[in-house]
Amino acid sequence: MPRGRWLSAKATFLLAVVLVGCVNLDQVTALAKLADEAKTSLPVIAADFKGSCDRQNLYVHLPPGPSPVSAPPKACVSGDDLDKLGNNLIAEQNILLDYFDALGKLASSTSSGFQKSVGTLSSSFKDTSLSTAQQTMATSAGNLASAISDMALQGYRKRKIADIIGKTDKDVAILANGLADQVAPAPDKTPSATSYLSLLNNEGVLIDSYYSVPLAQDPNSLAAIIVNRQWQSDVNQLNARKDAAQAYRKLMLSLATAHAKLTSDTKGGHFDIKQLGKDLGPDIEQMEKAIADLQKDLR
Amino acid sequence: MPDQTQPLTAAQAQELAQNFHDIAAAIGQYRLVQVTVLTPTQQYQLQNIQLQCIQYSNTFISAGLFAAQSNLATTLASIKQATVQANQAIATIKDVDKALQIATAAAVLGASIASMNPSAVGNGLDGLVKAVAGSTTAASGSTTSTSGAAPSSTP
Repeated sequence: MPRGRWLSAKATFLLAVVLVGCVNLDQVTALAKLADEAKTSLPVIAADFKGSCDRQNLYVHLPPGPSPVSAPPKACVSGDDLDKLGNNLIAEQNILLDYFDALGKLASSTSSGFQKSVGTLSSSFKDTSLSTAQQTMATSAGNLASAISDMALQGYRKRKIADIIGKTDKDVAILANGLADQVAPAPDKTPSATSYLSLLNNEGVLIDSYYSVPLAQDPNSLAAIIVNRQWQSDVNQLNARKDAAQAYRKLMLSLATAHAKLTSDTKGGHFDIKQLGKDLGPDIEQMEKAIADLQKDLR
Repeated sequence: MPDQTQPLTAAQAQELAQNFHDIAAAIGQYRLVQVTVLTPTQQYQLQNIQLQCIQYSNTFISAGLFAAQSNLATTLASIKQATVQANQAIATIKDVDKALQIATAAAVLGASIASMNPSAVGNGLDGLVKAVAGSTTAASGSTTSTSGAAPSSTP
């Protein structure tokens, strides 16, 4: 290997080792990717705020004989409000998901166009009358500049991400928990606020009365068998929606936890990539499962 | 102001929604247990009361959710601001990339000039300008002129 080329290659390698080390931003990108995958599943739950209201109004029996003088009251008259609430929920969750998306873009933003131009330099010089050593020097100068720019940009991205997530962590926790609570409260505690799950619980009361009372009056007929099946099918659908609500909760809480771990592992702008991978691994797995559950239950 | 209506807190709304839910569930249970005793008219009347209770519960659920959402307003504004910061940082990266492209062009041009061969410099310059123009196009997504201005605009 010509001496000039060998020295340039060595310098590039040493500079890369000193400035880059083994740090990468893959975990931030992976987190953003998962948040992005969730984006398609979440609006279905928001739309079902009004959906539950509409279904509740269907579980009404009229008495036998002529129609009653006054129509039975509607079980749910809050359809318009619930529609608005569902749309608000979409807007709120999009703010959170857009934030993760922006972090992911910042983590993966590269000087790709620049790298490409450096790669073409050696062929650009091939047909010129530059000596081999001169060609090598020119190419090495480009490679060095490319490596420096990449490291400068990576350092900038790390500092910026550490700065943003440090300042935002508290708000991410509040918003993610708030969204989780609006859809489903913690399963092991008495709820302190209303939620989508409260609507589903009301729907459950109506389903039970709608089917159980007529079946108790006529339990052994052929019609009862069919009605029983229909009852089971409605209950299964309701349970799938409840499971989806719990999966939504898990997803939001995992996002908050992962963000908090990201914050603690990047304090002072230092990324401990090994620790970060270890810390975020279970949360990313939990989120992948929650997204899969949401997609399964919302089918 | 004593006669002004106070909006419900999320916790108060939850309590009321739960109470009406529980009453509706109890009425449903009574309708089932007393199914052989109640007349169709009585069943209908009880069903209507049950529906009315569920309606109240749903109204309180809705009020509670509005209260919870308005509590998040400040947080939403802060996270929006963080997103803007991240996007501004991405824009800065693009600018840094562009500046570094020009710096590389200067470095490589220096190497070709060092050959002291006018033909090599000319050809090298041409190849370099093309490479830089190509990279600028790839980075910005727009067509850039190959007039040779890039190397001479070295800072």
